[in-house]
Amino acid sequence: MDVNEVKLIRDVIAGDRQAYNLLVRRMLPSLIALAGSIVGFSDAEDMVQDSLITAWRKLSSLRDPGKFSPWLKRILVRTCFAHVKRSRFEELDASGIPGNFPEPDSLMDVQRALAQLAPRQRAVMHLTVIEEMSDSRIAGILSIRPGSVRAHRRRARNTLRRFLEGEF
Amino acid sequence: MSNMRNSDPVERFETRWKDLADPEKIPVSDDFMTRLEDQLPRRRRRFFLLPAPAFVGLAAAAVILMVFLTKVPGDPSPVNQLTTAISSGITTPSLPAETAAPRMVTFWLDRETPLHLALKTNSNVKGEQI
Repeated sequence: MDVNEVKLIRDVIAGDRQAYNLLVRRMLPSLIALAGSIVGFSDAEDMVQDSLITAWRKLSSLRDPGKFSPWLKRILVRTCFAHVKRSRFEELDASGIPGNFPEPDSLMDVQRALAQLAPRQRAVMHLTVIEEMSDSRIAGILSIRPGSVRAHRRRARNTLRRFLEGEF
Repeated sequence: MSNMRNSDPVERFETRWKDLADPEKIPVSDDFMTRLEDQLPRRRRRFFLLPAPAFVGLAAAAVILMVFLTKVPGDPSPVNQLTTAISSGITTPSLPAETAAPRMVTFWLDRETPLHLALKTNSNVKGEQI
């Protein structure tokens, strides 16, 4: 995190709307990717919108600018989990990939595989594979222990292996 | 896509996934920021972010301050009349002498507080009655 970003986050914490918009624009693709892995890309933008509004309202509770990104991702993950819980009878929607995505067929294959996993396993896998986070950072975002992160990842990979051996 | 020779299906899957979910490839709706801007609260007021006990404390302090600032001897304002009525009522013989509340208030008023002094100097209240 460079000095400019720290200053930007300090401005955001102080309630600067423009700084918030600027920061959001920078983080948006990775936030949508995370939400897309958990709830599917058809609902991903809505999840991110809800999370950004929640984060804006709760900014006063954030003291350390260095923790803005994991803090925001924690809010997003919780929003996604709540959404999945509300619509627990629906599968992760593999058919609702917006048309502006490159390689939608390949992405649909990925989504179909992710649909085999529990929401928490999807989150662990996304943060491991896409964001290449350490177990302790993942544990901080998901509010679980690093040992649980490893257990979720092991189970997720086993499930994926069983699915993929018949699929690909 | 670079690691397709890998035989493990999970590793191949993860490689493909990483390619597809690259943040640079994730499209964002054109109106995303406009929609967000519309939904964000217009102005954050730090005052309203105070916890509830702080609000209660502030409100109580404001009321006490208001009483001190507005109570002027001989002033017929409602606050003045109210404090006069309260202090007079404490020593009114018609009130039950054994009720706990007046005695507690009397004890409180017996102290040399600014409120006590203010009440003593009030023309409507005799100091010895307090």
